[in-house]
Amino acid sequence: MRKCRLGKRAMAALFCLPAAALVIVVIAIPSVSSLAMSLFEWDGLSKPAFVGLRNFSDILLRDKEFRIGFVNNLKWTVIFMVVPILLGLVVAFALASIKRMRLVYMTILFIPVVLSRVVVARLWGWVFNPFFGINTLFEKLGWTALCQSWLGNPRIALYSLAFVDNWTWWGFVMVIFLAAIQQIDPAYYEAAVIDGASTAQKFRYITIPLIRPTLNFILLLTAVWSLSAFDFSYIMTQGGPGHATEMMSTWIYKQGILNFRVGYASAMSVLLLAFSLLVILFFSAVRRDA
Amino acid sequence: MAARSKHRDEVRHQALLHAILIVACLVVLVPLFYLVINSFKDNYEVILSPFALPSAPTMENYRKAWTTGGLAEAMLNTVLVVAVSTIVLAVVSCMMSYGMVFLGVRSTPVWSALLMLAMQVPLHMYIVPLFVMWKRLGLVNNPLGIILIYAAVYVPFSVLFLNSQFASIPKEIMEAAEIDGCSYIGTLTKVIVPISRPALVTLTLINAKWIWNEFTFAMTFLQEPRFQTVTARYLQFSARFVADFAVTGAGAVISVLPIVVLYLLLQRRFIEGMTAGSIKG
Repeated sequence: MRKCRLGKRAMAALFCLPAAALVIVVIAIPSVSSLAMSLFEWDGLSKPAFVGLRNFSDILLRDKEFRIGFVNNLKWTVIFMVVPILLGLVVAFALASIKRMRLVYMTILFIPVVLSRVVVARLWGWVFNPFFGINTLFEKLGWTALCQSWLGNPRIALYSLAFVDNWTWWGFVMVIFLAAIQQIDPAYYEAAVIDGASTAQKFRYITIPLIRPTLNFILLLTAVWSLSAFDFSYIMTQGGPGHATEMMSTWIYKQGILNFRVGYASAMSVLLLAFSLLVILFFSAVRRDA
Repeated sequence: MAARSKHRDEVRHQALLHAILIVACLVVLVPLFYLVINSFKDNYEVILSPFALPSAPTMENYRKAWTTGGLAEAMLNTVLVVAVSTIVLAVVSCMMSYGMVFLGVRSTPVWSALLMLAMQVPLHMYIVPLFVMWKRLGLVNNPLGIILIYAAVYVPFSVLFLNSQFASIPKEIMEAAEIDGCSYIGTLTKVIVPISRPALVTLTLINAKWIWNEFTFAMTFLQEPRFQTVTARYLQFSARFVADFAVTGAGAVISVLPIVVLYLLLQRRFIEGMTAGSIKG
């Protein structure tokens, strides 16, 4: 009998092996070697040279672009903790409260989530284009104050990119909120109606508190993902104009893949991971408090 | 009287909610509409009247994107990469999930936690060393290389997704199958997989969507045009033909069409699959 159970355990491990091996080779080993490589200077070809913590001191003390990227990631985090979540909440609440056409609206609102981000980036690149984009429409309407160089102006570009990322992202957030709202027992709302509560009050005092766990989860996800935002900055502006829309991850990619500074890029990726872990720790501390 | 005014309030209330939703839908649909109408114009007309319907709709842009832009070849590559990766993912994830849920590996929570961690590690943490490693192994510019990457990167989500599905299957099924003399593999293929068919279809759809749209790995590991998947090829081609809005617009429509059609046919599965597991928090 005992032998048989041991056999089962061994079989279990055997069944896990192929998937585990893939994850170990593609994700775990390179991640760990990033940790090790961060202490070396290496171009990916010649012999790596041990430099101790010099990569880290260079990044933290001298690398202006990394600092710009870090600040941009922070701005990104703040924007994404507020805008898509508010939009998603309001629209999910509206969707849950209507009686007809729910599936039609939901299907349309979720479309941007299934589109390829490369295509979305190009599409909005055209909308922001001065020759046939939104500016030509503003000109015709006489709203010249709105004619901006959306991707060319270093003070606006980051927000234009955030707008585009929001456009693809908030539908996902909305659907998750909708699923959470639909799990709320309707009796709460019925009781509130009898007490004469307004829609806004129902939203504030019933919906929000009852979907709190989902809200916390989305906030955590947003924070972690905002720190490694990459797609639209890399495709639409390549981190420019200048380095106005540089992100930590675009800078890692440029240094590591395009400039072959493997050690230096690894050190930056270690910092990126450390920031992500800090965010996760912060959230779990807050959750334990509450 | 009171009932009637209450009814009127309710109607007004519903109208307001619909108004909010219609505005939200327009924000999604208008840019897509702008893309589609311009993909049927020639370039002069795009510049001349970008917001009007095409005066003489032409398929020329689609023909050019398909042939000159190389999307035909890229589409074929993508179908191959997506098919093989999703099948490998389904097989290895099913096996792992079966091992975790039904056979009971030692310290299952640790495995789950490790999978969660692997899912949250930003790809920029490992893409550079992976590139160096893959280059040495001759897996850059090699369909096998990208298939291995995709088959690994989406394992954590796939296994966690299947774990939650498998957890709802009663454990007695295992015992019954064992008494009937089924081997472990027999139980998996003849009992568990058939019961979980809907979940496996959803999982494969979601993985296919991710892999079809993925571009960071694709543009890094497939730099030679003849191996490129649609996103990588489209990224290059749209950068080269940046002034030719009509053709790049048509290319955009072509490269998202398969996934959009699948989505419109099976939206419930897509939405449920992509949001699975997030509600529990």
